[in-house]
Amino acid sequence: MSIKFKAEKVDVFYNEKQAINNISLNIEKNMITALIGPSGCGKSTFLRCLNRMNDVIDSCKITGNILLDNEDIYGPNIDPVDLRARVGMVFQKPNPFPKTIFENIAYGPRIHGLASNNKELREIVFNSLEKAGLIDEVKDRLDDQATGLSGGQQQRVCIARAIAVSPEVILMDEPCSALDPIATAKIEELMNEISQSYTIVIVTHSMQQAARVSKKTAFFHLGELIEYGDTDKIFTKPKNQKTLDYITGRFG
Amino acid sequence: MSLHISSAFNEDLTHINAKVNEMGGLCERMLEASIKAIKKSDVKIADQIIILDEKINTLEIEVNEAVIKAIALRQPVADDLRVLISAIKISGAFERIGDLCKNIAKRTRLVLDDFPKKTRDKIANLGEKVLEQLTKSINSYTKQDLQLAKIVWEKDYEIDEMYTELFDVLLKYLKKKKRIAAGSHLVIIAKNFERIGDHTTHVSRMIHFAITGESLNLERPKFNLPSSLGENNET
Repeated sequence: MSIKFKAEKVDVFYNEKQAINNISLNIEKNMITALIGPSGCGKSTFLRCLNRMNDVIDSCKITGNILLDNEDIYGPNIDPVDLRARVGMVFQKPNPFPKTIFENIAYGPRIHGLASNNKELREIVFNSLEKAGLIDEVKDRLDDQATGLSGGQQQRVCIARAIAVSPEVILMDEPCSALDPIATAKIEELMNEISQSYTIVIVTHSMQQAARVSKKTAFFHLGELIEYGDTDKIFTKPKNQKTLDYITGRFG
Repeated sequence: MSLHISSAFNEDLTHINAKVNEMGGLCERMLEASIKAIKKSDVKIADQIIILDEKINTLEIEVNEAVIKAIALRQPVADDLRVLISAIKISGAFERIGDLCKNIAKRTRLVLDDFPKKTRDKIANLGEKVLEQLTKSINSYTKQDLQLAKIVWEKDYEIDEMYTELFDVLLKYLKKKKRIAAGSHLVIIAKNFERIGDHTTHVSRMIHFAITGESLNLERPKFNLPSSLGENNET
């Protein structure tokens, strides 16, 4: 397995407060990695470092290195907009644009110039919806508002929107926390299917979800990486007592 | 081990643990009674054993139901999951031990008066060795004592050796006295004690697994086959 992301001694501060402390972590290519831990442990902060979403927060300061395919994503030659096309993101709450389903998916390819004509653009939209497992449900209503879809469908529109710009990595920040179990199962199945072509990093509060979907799991606690390893090992025989206490719901 | 945030889950685990312990205690009583029945030629004791077996069977069903409920409702992981899976397996082993004790009791009623005290004492000695192992394995479960569980696992070969020796003695006796039917019951009683030893070893392996997450290596000291089997000299 090759390494997609390599984080080396990463510290993150919000003003004086340190949110992440000396984290080194390799994320493997075309695999699902789950980040788990209690609220405020730094898992979402770390996720957001991976496509420089923290850049928009003035008080946020990051030290250490984060390499994507061995290139420092905080280096001078990296354009954050290009980076975010390579490293897409899906958020907790489905956030489609207040536009049609078609326009939601077409927006990214259009601004990144990925289609030279309308036919190509339609192909990208259809392919993306197909990969997101949504095409059968929406093919006859592409001109409807995306916001009129169900929560689960909206989230899959957001995944299709992320896929449409041909990213290498998809970051997911609690993508199913607003969804019912059936919609959740569909998203998880979709993640499983697309993980052969994309590197996926998911932050989740659901331990069962981490156990179900990921191959690797990282447990964060108070800004530190406590344990990182194969998901089946983490959930059957974790090495660290803090990991054990957290996943079994004990007093730490 | 620290407690879970969910007190209801703590209670579920305590409840399951108590039931498994109760099964272990009943097995101990049944085995003790089986030995006494053989030693003292006491048919009444044998009858009591049969009643206790029903109680063990009921408890096994209750343990299974409680574990399935806990898995379905709590989705346990890591040591919690191992403890619950082990509880099912250990209660299964205790249930088998109960069956074997019952079988010993039934056969004892048939053959008690047919054999000299010396022969019965030899079988009872084997039973006592097995009881010693069973008590240790129940203690290791109650106290979550890894070392004790390992000792039980290692010492099973002593039972096997005793059984092998006894088997040869019984066979020679049968050949000499030509009392095949009653003698066969006695051989099966001895074999049942040996099987109880195996189930006891299984319990200790499960305790080890629940505590460490590691399976005990399957390789351990082996015993020899009874010489009569090895020589193929049956008549």
